[in-house]
Amino acid sequence: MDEQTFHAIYAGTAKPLWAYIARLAGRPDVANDLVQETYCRFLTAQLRNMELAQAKPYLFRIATNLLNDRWRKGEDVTWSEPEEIGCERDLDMQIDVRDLMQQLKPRERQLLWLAYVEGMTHSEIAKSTGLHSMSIRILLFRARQRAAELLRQKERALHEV
Amino acid sequence: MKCDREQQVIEATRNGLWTSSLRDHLRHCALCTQTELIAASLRGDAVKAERLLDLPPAGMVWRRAQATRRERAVQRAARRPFLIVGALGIVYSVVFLLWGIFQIPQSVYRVFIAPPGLTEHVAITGVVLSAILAIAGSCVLVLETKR
Repeated sequence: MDEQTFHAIYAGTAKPLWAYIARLAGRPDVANDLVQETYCRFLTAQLRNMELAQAKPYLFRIATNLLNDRWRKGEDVTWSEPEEIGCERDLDMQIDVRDLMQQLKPRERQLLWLAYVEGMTHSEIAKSTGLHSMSIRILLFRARQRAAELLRQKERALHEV
Repeated sequence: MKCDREQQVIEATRNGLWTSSLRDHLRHCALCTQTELIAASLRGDAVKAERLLDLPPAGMVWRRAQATRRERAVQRAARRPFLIVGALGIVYSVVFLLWGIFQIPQSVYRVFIAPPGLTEHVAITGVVLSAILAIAGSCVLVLETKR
């Protein structure tokens, strides 16, 4: 892969990849490290030139594996993301999604993020997570049910207040 | 349970392009309403998360990856001679073991049992033990090199 192609891929994927890792790990410092490690592994894999559309699931797969490794080792057990300084809370929804993510299981977070934020199809999610594409539908359905229930609970709590 | 228009709802949440038919569908489809609720929440959070972004420039990442690649190539190159030595050690040990057990004639054994008090069995045991130790050493060398 030449440097020019890499620059184009980096420009198109670095932000979403960082957000994915930051929200799944709950720590921006971990996201900074893992994003660099992800691109390092991507480049040292000595791949031929690939399009952005091909590279994206591959990069998310590397990041997912790195995150899974951290969880397996027992790292990132605490959710230590700081409050955003200078950012006002979303007044329309008043729902802190970070709370929601914290209550979900790691796999549920991964699936929801890839499906709803990245807009990936089931086969793309399968490529990015290493899960079988047939099981994505049911796992995503369960994750969505759980997330919706948590969001409804939060909404109800806010209305009561 | 799945709605055919779910992917359209996700796309509309991502790009903000809602058609009137999709909006109408959203009012009547509980699944898509749920999808829109989650997608909008997560999408809004993604935008917020990107404000914390502090990424190095692409050129820096590229150079770091090149350095890592070179480092790994050197490690691979250095590992090969150890693997070859380990493999040759195993071959030597096996040949030596077979030779010691089956090929040495009785007369040659006697040369090795020159010190008084040693028997042929002790000499054979010595040959076997040394071969086992040589094989074990070669295996350790190969395993350590692989690691």
